[in-house]
Amino acid sequence: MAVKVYGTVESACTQRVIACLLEMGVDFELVHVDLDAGEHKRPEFLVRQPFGQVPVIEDGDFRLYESRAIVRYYVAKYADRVPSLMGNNLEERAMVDQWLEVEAHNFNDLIFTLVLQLVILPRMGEPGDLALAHSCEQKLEKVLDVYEQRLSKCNYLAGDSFTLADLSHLPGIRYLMNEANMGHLITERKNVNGWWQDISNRPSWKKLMKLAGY
Amino acid sequence: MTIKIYGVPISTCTARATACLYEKEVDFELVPINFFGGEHKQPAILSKNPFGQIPALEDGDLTLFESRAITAYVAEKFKETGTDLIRHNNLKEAALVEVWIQVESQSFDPAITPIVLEYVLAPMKGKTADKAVIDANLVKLEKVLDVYESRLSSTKYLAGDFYSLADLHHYPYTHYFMTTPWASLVNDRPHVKAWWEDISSRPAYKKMTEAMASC
Repeated sequence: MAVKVYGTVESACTQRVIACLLEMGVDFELVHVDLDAGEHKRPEFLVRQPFGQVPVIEDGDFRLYESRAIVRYYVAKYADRVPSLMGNNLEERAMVDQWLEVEAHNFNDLIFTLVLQLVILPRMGEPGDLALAHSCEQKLEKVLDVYEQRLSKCNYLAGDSFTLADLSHLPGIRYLMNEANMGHLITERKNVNGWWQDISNRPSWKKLMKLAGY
Repeated sequence: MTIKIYGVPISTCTARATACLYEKEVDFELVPINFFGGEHKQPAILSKNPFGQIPALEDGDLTLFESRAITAYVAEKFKETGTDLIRHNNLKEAALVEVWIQVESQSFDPAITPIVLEYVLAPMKGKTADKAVIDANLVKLEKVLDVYESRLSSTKYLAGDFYSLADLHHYPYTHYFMTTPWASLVNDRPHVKAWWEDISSRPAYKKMTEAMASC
């Protein structure tokens, strides 16, 4: 039975989950949630996800939410398929966890705020806070300087193999490069750019891009 | 060789890491950082955490930063002994622990952190607390705690009827929050209150708060 993924193909967090399922060759069915119509805040949806957010997965009887918990679950469940996505031993796993936390706490908020102010609010007909967006951009420059240094020492964030830590960044960077028009933050940094070219050319990510109609 | 933690006991994120070590009864050495003197932005610490933040962990050759990666490492390394923080023998329970670890990280933390930083930290740095920031985040925190209240009416702890790393991660910021004028957000929600009273009665929590007080 295919895993049901409740969400939208444009939502960054849904993309994080779909990218992982595609990497791992796990069959899934995307059940579209109409975010514009507020479907995710209605009682029927809140039963699935009490915070009113996407994505949620249903795998038979088992329901999970929080995209970073979902991807960890599938990597653990199918550890024999692509064993290196969470590292091959305790220390490698710790490095993957470390960079997953960096994505969640040092990177994601900045991207999210930038995209909210520059893309989402204007789309809704409201003015974005350009000063806030600029401040995020400046902070993101400093964060990406750390990434540049890190990626001068190894090919991927957690070491020399592609892991969940890299995968977790794909949706946010795509938004940065496209709708937010901030691609220079990536392309101006030799190692970060090389890493982005590599991870965004993976067949699973390209498949998702096709699914999303980009 | 003993695990080293670079940080300060009053730092919330350092406390998150040390609480986990206390819970697992793992020996460690706390290497103090002159936080208010900006030592975490100096080369010696930047070499351990390039983002210039505390805590950092050293275990033999391994250096790690990000408190939740540190707790995950400690819980995994010592999973066969002491409190079962990550339910490693049950894939579904482990997944539910991970869900509530993420909820703390993505929904609870962003709402409670600004309140604590404004109320507790700003005065320490000689600044006035920003009431607008506090008010806006109290609104967010109320909504999150409503979900917690509903959850904790059906399970004893967040991930299920077992204490886990997901509950522990709430320690440091909630500890400070309960000293603010808005502790009623917890105390007015009977299941959240009962949960907080339970988890804050654990020996590891007491050790964490004693270390904070001795600073």
